[in-house]
Amino acid sequence: MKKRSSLVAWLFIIVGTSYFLLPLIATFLFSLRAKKDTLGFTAYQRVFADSSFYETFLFSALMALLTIIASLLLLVPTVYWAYLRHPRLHRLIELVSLMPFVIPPIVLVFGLIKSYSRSPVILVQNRGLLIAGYMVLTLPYMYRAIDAGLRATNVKTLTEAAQSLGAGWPRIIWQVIVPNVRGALVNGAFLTFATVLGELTLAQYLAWPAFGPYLARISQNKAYEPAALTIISFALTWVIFGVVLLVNSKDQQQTQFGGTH
Amino acid sequence: MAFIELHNLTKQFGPTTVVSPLNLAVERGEFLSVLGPSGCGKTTTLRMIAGFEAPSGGSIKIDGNDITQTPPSKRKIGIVFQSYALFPNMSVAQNIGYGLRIGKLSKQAIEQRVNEMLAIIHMQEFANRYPHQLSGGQQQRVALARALAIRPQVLLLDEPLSALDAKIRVSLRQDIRAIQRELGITAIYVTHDQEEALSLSDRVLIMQKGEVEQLGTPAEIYNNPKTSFVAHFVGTLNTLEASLHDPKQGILHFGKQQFSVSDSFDSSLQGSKVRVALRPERLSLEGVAAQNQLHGVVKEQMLLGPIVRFHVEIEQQLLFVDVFNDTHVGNLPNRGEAVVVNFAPHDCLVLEH
Repeated sequence: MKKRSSLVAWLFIIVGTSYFLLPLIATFLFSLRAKKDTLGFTAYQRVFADSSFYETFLFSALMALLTIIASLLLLVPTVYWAYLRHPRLHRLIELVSLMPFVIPPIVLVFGLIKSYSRSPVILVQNRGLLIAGYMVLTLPYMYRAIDAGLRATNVKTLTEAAQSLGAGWPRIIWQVIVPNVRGALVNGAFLTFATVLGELTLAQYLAWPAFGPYLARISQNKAYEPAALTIISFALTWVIFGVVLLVNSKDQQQTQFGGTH
Repeated sequence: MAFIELHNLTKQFGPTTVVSPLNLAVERGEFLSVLGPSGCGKTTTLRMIAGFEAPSGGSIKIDGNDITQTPPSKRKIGIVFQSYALFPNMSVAQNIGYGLRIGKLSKQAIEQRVNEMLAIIHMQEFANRYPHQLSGGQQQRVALARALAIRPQVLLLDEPLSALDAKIRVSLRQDIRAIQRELGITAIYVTHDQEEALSLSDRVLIMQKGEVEQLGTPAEIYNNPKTSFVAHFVGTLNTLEASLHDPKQGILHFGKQQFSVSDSFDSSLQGSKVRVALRPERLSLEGVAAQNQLHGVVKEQMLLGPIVRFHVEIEQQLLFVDVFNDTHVGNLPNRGEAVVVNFAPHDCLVLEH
C-alpha cells in the first residue's frame, strides 16, 4: 500500500516536472538553432549585441529600483503604524492592496493618462507617473510581504521596549523594525523587481523605452531571439529567487525566538 | 512626598472603565507588587505609568515632576516585558547598550556600563550571543540588564516570569529582588502570582475590576485581608458564614455548633450573618484544645509535599486543615474518622464584604 502511494507520488512529480521543464528545454533548444544545421548561441549573441536590450533592461531595472524604494518608504511606515495604532485598518488596507488584481492594467493606464495629461497637473511625460503606476501594480506583493514580516515579529512589544530606552520613531523603524523584517522586505522587493522588469501595458501606453515593450517588439519581428530572451528572463528570475532564499535563510537563523528552557 | 504619585488615575476604553480613580504613593527604593486576576487593570496601570496608554483622567508624578503627558521615550523608565522583547537582530551586548547609544554616551562609557550590567546578571560570557541562542531565563536576565543599563528612575516589570518554568522563576525572582536592593531602584512589579508578590515585595497592591481592594505589606495582606476577595485570592482560605449569637462577646453560631472571634460587635447586629475566614494552617486536629472547637469528619486527605491537607466536613461544609508532613507525628486521622478542629478566636478574620 505504502509502495503504491509512493509510486503515485513519483508519477505526479515526474508529470509536474515534465510539464514545467519540457517547454523550457524545447525553447532552449530552439534558441540554439539560429544558424541553420548547427546548435549555437548565435541568438544570444545577437540579443547581447543589440544596444536596445541593454538600454531597455537598464531603464526597467532603474524604474524597478525606484519603485521598490518608493514603495518601501510609503508602505513600511504605513503598515507598521496600522499594526501599532489602528489594527482595524488592516482589512481596509488589505482590500485596497487587492485592487490591482481586479482592475486590469489597461484601465489603470488610461485612467492615469486621462487624469494627468491636462492641466492643472500634467505628468504623462514624467517618470514619476510610471513609478506611481508600478507602485499600484506591485502593491499586492509588497503589502503582503511587509504584512507577513510584521505579523511574524512582536512589533508592539519591540516598539515599546525601544521607546522605554529612549528611541524616537525614525530610530525605532530603522534600527528595530526594518532589520527584523528584512527577509520579508527583500521578498517584496524582488517580486516587485520581477514584475516591473517584464511589465508591458503601463510602459507601452505611457511610451517609455522599457524592457517589457522591447520583449514584445522582438517577439513580433524575430524567431530565435525571443526564445533566447525567454531563457535569459528565466535565468534572471532564478538568480533573483536564489538571492531571496539565501537572504531569508540567513534571516531565519537570526530572528528565531528562544523559548522556555 | 512620595517618589511615585498616582492621583485619581483612570482609564476607560469606550464605555468600559478599566481603572477606576486610583491613588497610590510609592516611596523611593520601594518594591511594590500589583497583584490581581486577569483583566483587573494592573497591566493597564503599569502601561499608563510607562506612557504606553494615555490616562482618561488623573495624573502621574515621579520625583515631584508631572509626567502624565511626557512621551514614553522621555520618561526614563526601565521596563521588563513578559515576552522579553529583546531585539532579535542585536547581540546581548548590543541589546544592553541600545539605550546608552541613544543617550549618546562615549563608546568607552557604553562598553564599561554593558560589562557592569553583564557582571550583575552573571552573563559576561554571553555578550556576543544573539537572543535566539539563549534560554528564556537568560533572555529575561538580559532584558532586565537592558532596562537597568540606562539608570532609569523607576523599573517596571510586567509579569516578567510568567513565561518561565517553575524552578527558573524562583531563582530569577530572587535575583530580581537582590539586584533591585543592590541598586536601590524603585520598582513596580505586576503579577497574578500571589507567591511572587508576597515573597518579593515591600508592599502589595491588590486590584480587582479596576479598583484597589487592599494595599499593605505582604504580612498584612496575608494575615489580615480586608475583603473576602483578598482573603480568597491570596492563599487558601476557609470561609464560614455564621450568625451572631452574642455580639458583645463575639460568639457566633455555626449550624448546631458555636465559636468565638476576638472582635466585638454592636448589639443591634444580633442574629445577623457574619463571614469569617480561617487559614488552613491556623487550624489543628490535635494538641492542646483551643478555645474554639468544631466537630467534624475527615472526608479527604491530600499530601501536598511539606503539608498534608485534610478536608473536614463540619455542619455540611468542607474546611481545609493543613498539618505538617512530619513522619514522627504519626497517628494522623484517616478518611471517615471523627475529628475535632481546634483554633483560637484571634485566628478568625471577620471579613468586611
